[in-house]
Amino acid sequence: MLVSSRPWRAVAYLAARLPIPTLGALFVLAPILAGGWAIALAVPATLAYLVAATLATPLERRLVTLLDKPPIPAAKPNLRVVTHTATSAILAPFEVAFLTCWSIGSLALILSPALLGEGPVAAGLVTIDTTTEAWIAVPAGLALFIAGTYATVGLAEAHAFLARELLRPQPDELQQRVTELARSRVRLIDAFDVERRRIERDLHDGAQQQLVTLAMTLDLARIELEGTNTEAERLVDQAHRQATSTMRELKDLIHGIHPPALADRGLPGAIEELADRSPLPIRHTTQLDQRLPESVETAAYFVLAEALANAAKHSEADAIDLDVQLADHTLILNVHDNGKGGAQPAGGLAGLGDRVAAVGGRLTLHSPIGGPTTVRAEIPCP
Amino acid sequence: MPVSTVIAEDSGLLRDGLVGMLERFDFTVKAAVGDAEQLLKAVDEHQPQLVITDVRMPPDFRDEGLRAALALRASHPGLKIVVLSQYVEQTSAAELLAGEQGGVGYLLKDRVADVRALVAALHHVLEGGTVVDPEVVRRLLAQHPLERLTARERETLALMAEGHSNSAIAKRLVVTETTVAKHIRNVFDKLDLPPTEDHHRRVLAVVAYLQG
Repeated sequence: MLVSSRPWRAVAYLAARLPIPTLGALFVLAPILAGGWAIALAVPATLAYLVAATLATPLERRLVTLLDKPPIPAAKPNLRVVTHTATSAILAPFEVAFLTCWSIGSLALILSPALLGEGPVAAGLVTIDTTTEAWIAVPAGLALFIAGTYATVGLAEAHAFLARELLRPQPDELQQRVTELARSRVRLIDAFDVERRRIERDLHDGAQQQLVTLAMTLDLARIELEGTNTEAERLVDQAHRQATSTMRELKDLIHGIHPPALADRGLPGAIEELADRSPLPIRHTTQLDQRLPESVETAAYFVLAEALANAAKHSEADAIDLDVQLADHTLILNVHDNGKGGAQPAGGLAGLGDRVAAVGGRLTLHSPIGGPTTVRAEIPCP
Repeated sequence: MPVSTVIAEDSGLLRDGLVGMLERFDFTVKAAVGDAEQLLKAVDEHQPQLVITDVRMPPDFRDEGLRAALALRASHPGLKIVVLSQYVEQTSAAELLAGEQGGVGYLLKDRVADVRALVAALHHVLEGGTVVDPEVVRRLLAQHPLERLTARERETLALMAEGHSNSAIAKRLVVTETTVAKHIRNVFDKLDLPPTEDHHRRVLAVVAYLQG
């Protein structure tokens, strides 16, 4: 241990964390030692120290990393934090005394043969005044140094343990944070959806209308040049065709970002459109006569779109059954195909699982080799 | 005789483009407005022959234009209306086209890029006709269950409708009876006829065929 960095880390840890409680202890003790009316100052001094040290706990949480330990997670200031600061101040003077005695004492013993020339060496309780004593003191000093090193590491570890116990978040606080994290995940996804809709609207209102207008103007130019049999006629005709094909591409792009049917007519309308677009015949039963929360509609839509796309691409099915219903505050989606099965919960489907989980639901895939495949999602609707 | 027209389209660029294009083809644009409320006002003010409106417009960018078109159809019986939609929305199309009277059109905005076809459609509507975007028609047809049948299954169904038994159908189509039975099973499946008593399903399939 002596040749490792551990003792140095322990010393660094103690050196970094001791000044505040030590100063605090002096600050409180000074008026008491002064006596008289000054004793009254001890009360505000104690309060000032507790506030200052509590504010400094973020430093305390990070300092344990000096001992190769993970930082202590943040918790709201509470009685345990105050207990920690108070305990630190009470222990600090003793620790400082220990560190001082140990370092100066062992150094004095080890160096005593050299120091002896200037007169007797006083190392704590012993006084060395002969050369023989000095040579005996050297191994004693080394032993004290080594023992003190262990003690220092132990002291630092004990402190870190105490800090972690008193400063870490309590279980109910952890539960609260899990809930808060889950909520923030939902908020993020909501924000993401809002952003998608904004992009969709911007593209629709801007580029899409401009392209339609451009294509129209080019068509007018084409009509003007018709029959002139010029290069201009040929080029304008080409430009018109390019504009219309770009128009179609943009339309598909917008559809992928956020399907307009979903925004305008909700899930039933969007399902109808999905069924229209599907290359495979789809039998769908949708028992849904109300708009659901946007996050639920969007998650449900993307599950259906992905499941249908997968079935069309990989399953070799010739029919898909799609069943959507709201029962007992849960939206249940079932996509069933009669294809060859063997679908893996990877890629797009895995991403959808995360998405469904974020709104508190779950996605299950049942796809034995040889088929059939069923994708099922259950999403709670408050 | 120029056709007096009112246009509602929230994109200024496209609105101006439409006005310019229509004026070339002998339409007189009395007003070109940017939302449904102004559209209703402009129609009352100018009493045009034709209204061309976008579906999605301010304030909510949902189906304001379609709502206005439906209101105008009820309040101005002779008024010809063409709705331009960015996307096929079958419910919207169905709502607009419901009713006996013609003089109405539902077109995708993409058609604006084919000026001649658009103008022809407008004239058709002005003459009291009904214009439905080919894309809408395609999707409606694709949804019809009879579209799912193969040619052979259709033939089989047609012969069933004529009252032939399985063996008679087999003889006519020069296939085995097993094959005919397979075709019939597919027909039942594709027409969503639940497995009940065979004769009953046969009748239902024939009814579906005759209605289609």
